[in-house]
Amino acid sequence: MKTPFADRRDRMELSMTPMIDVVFLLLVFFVWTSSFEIPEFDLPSAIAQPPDGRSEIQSEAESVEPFDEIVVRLMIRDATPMIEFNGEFVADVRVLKSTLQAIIAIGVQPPVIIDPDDEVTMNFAVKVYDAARAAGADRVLFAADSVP
Amino acid sequence: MTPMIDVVFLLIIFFLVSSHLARQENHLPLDLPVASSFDPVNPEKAPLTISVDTKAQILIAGNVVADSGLSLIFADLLDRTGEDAAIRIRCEGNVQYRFVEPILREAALSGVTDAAIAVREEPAL
Repeated sequence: MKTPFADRRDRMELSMTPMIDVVFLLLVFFVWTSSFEIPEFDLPSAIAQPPDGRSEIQSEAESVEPFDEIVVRLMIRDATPMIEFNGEFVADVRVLKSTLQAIIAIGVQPPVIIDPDDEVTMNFAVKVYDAARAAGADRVLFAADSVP
Repeated sequence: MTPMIDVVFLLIIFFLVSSHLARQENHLPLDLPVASSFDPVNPEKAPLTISVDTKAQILIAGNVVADSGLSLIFADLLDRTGEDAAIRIRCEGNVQYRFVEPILREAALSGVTDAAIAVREEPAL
């Protein structure tokens, strides 16, 4: 004669296997569908303009109209990355960003041209590029020499 | 009946998931620059991904490409995709700009105007 307790235990053990099956299936499903990659995003760049105009900006002797286009030069001095904006050195990216914000607040929308020197790392170049975009500049461009 | 349905269900899930995985781009693990003003990824666009690895080699589809070979590749890209030609540059953050500059220059000269730089989201502080 079975006690009610034993009866209940019997049923529980019976239903265990399908439950494990389903749990296992769900586990496999979620492990497969989840991706362990850090998501990547696209920073739209740089060469939306024909190359003729862009590539000549390098020459420093050029007399630049105040808000014709803003050239930000990046360089490495004594292993520290430096930002040169409008002929003057800027302390860091935040200062550059607020300066650009102030310019854009006037209501002009000049193209901002980022001209990194050869040795500048992409980390820094992209940081400045990002700051310029975050300041609200519509067109931020990377400068490239026309001849290697 | 039930075991058959189980197996069929399992197969459906398997093929769904494996097709999903196949669509994911196989890419080189790189330490990308970080940025905060990125655009959402447009899944309709299928840009040509160009990687620049730690040794400053330019890789396209797993093959090392010399600077001089880029113009041919861009010409071919324009032939195949026409107006929609787009490139996406995945570069190691520590690589110097001079290794990436040729890619931008060749793309501009070839007429590929849609270029993007792959970035990671800036970690919240």
